[in-house]
Amino acid sequence: MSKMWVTMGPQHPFSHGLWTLKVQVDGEVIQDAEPVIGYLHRGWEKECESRTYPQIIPMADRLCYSASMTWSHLYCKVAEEAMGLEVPERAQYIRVIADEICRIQSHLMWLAAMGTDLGNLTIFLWALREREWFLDLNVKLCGQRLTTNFPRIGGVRNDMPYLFERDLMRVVDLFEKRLWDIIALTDDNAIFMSRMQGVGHVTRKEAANLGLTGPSMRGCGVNFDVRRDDPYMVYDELDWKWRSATTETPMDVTRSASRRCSRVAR
Amino acid sequence: MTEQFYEAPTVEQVSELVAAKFGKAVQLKGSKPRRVYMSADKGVLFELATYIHDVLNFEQASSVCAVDYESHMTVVYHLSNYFNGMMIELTVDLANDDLTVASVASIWGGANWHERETYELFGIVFEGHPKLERLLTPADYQFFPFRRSYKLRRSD
Repeated sequence: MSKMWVTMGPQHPFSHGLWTLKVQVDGEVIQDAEPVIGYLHRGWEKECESRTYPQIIPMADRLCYSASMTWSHLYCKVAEEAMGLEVPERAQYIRVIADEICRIQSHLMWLAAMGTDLGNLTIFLWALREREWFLDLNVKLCGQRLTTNFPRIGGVRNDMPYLFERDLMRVVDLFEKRLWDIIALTDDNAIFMSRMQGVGHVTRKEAANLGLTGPSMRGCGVNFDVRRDDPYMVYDELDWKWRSATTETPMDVTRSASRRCSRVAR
Repeated sequence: MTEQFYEAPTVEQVSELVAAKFGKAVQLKGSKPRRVYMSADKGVLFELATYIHDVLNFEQASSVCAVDYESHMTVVYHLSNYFNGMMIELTVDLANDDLTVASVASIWGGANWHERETYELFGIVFEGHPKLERLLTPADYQFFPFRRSYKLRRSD
């Protein structure tokens, strides 16, 4: 049969964003694909050229709405390294705590989106409900849910508020209990697992060569975590347990993040 | 392959091996724990990249980007090895009247889109790239917006 190009989109099912995928099909088998991702470039670097260094911090937050703290932290760290600045130890701990809060709520956001993609709205609702606790911690820490504008070059904007450690521990303890509910919906759920396992297989070599990063890369068998293998801030002083995501149980990532957060707090 | 394969070379090994193989064509700029900084001549880039990938086992091109210094442009490659967490920062200087460099997309698949982005933003042509077209800007766009000569209205 002759091959032909079919345009999928521009509406992606359950649109996480608009894009078009041109696929070349031979009968019903996809032979080739060409994504058209749209005109997404915001010219961030160009915008930064005409701003002072502190003015860039809130812009860095907008790079990822979900884990914004990580991005402004990253930007501040770049500026600090360029200036040869040493960050006070307490500020380093606060940054790590803030990063981990953001990491957990970002993972929960991912899980919620995953739930809707699979048509399982319970996962979506429960993950977002749990996520609100961590957003509340963000509000306590820096007065904003998502775009936090919290790190500063050389430190953080403010110290942890009164009784923040207690609130953090409460949330983490509660979350560890509630996590079992989500695990029952995901890891222990035959329908969820049958749709997740054995789909979209990427080998370790391909994952590294094609530039996958983060949990998806570790899921492919790359035993690497920048916090463990190339530590920054105080990650090398912390007592935290690294979990491999190779077991194909997506909840491992979230679970390990919550453990880590509790270790930091202690 | 007759050359010895290094799964997780140390900083010293990377520096020594590259210096021994490429001599003056590659200038080592220094190193830190888990970081090696080097600058290469344009002519040896592809050979060097192949060596770094095949022998020193740097599996991923984490980023390919460029810097416009006005007097010249520099392409910056960040290459990662995930067995020991090492990263090579490799820079290649390009003269303003000859903005071409060999493409490494055939070595690292991930460099493909990075090079397309660098091409559309800086106008640097990657020779041998399988599909050097604009990726994030419209196909009929006339400018290379990240060049210093491209002024935002506000900064005029």
